[in-house]
Amino acid sequence: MGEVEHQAALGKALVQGLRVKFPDVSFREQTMPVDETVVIMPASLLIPAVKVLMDDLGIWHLSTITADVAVDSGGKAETGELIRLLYHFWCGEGVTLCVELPGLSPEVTTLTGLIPGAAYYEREIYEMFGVTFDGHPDLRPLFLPDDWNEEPPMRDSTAKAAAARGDP
Amino acid sequence: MSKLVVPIGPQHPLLKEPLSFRLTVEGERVTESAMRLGYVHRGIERLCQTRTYVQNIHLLERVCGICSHVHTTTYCRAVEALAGLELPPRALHLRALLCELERIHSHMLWLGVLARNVGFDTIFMYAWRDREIVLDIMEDLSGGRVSHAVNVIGGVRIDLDDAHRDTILQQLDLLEDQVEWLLGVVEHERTLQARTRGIGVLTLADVRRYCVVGPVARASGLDIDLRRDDRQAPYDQMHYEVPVHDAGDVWARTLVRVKEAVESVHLCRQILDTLPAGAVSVRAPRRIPAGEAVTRSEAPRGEVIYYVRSNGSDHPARVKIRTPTLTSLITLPDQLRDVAMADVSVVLSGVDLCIACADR
Repeated sequence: MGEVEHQAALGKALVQGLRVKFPDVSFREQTMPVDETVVIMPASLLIPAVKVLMDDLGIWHLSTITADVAVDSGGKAETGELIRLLYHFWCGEGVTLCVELPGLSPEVTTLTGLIPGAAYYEREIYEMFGVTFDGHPDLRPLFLPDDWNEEPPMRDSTAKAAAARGDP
Repeated sequence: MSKLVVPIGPQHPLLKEPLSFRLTVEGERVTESAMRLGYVHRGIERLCQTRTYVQNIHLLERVCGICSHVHTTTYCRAVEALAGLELPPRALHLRALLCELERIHSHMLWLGVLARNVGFDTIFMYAWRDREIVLDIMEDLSGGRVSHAVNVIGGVRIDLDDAHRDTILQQLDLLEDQVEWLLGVVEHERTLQARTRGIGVLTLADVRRYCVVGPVARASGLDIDLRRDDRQAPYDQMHYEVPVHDAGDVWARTLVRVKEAVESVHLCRQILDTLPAGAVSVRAPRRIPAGEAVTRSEAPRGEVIYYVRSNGSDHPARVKIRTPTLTSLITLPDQLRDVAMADVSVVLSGVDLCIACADR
């Protein structure tokens, strides 16, 4: 993901809109292939940013939410670990909102109040990564068996799999 | 009236897919429904992290048993974007050819399932008979009827000569006649309409709220199609219609899908007529530069999205897949509310569920 060079029109409009509404907050903009604008923001600004997307720019299609474990401690799961949530929106071009949550107790406000279609994506991240979504109407596991008592499987695996392979 | 809870699935004659419903019924009417997923959850996203980029093609081809090619296409596009590879035009055309054949195959298969569920076995037989033409073309091209193993990182592993191209064009002529005949049946046959009109209705507001994609969204009046909207090569050079309907019921979904199959036949012909000369692949590195990429494709059921993050090694650090069925599943409680028990199978088949896709 390189620093932005040729930012797409929609991503540019979003960042401008956010800067006008929240002049004190620093947003980081990046691009990722293929032609996707990424805006990294504090978790507290997620809902206001989605409102800007929906009300001001008319973007309402959430393609999915990706959860990822950011490992920057040599492949070991430590307290410095972060959970990154990437909200991929689409309206003729891709716009991704990114929030980073602390690895120890990841928690963020649910998007289901604005976009009911986010419900299953959030349930999947809840069970696979252990992220709690405040205000979700039905935060239950989606795919795992009822008697699953172990830790969230993807949360564990990302760091361990990287460490086992000795990745950089 | 007393309430009764009717369990359907994960194995049930009414529902061939492995998911489970508990329908609360009052008399013949469904009042509530609860769904349970995960019976074919294979942990594919997790498995991707333990395999190399090349091995993952084999794995991701098995996310779905129907739209296997579009999964590897979307994955390969993400990896190619990370590696900065520019694909030869011939490779893009051949990938698109398989995508369109797969769309016809998927829609014909679905039409057969729907026809079977409404008791219209003649169309079930005809649709599946004609689907064999597509499967034959795909088998001749790749060696496989449903798992084609055509994609490699950097292009495709198949090619075709002029004689083979002419044979496919002849098969497409036959296929077009059959699919257009089926379209006539769907448009005019009263028995089919009696079972599908006004059933499983989703409004335009519903599909927008739930972020529904593909034919289900287009049958509710939402004009989205990633082939056109994402300006993907080689679709940016092709001429085709995107069928949209505003009724939002199972009949509208049937019309949209069969019309799409007709358009896909036209697209296959255009792709073959404009097939550029040259190589079918470029050499790809084993280790992929660190970075992350998002790619979207229009699968037979709608938008499929892949997120791939590389840490610079020969294994991906994260692969995220969102399949279109997941967007339709969330609408089922709304669609099933106040439906007669006899129509439950029509609603369930109307959205074209692929639970292997949804569970991953």
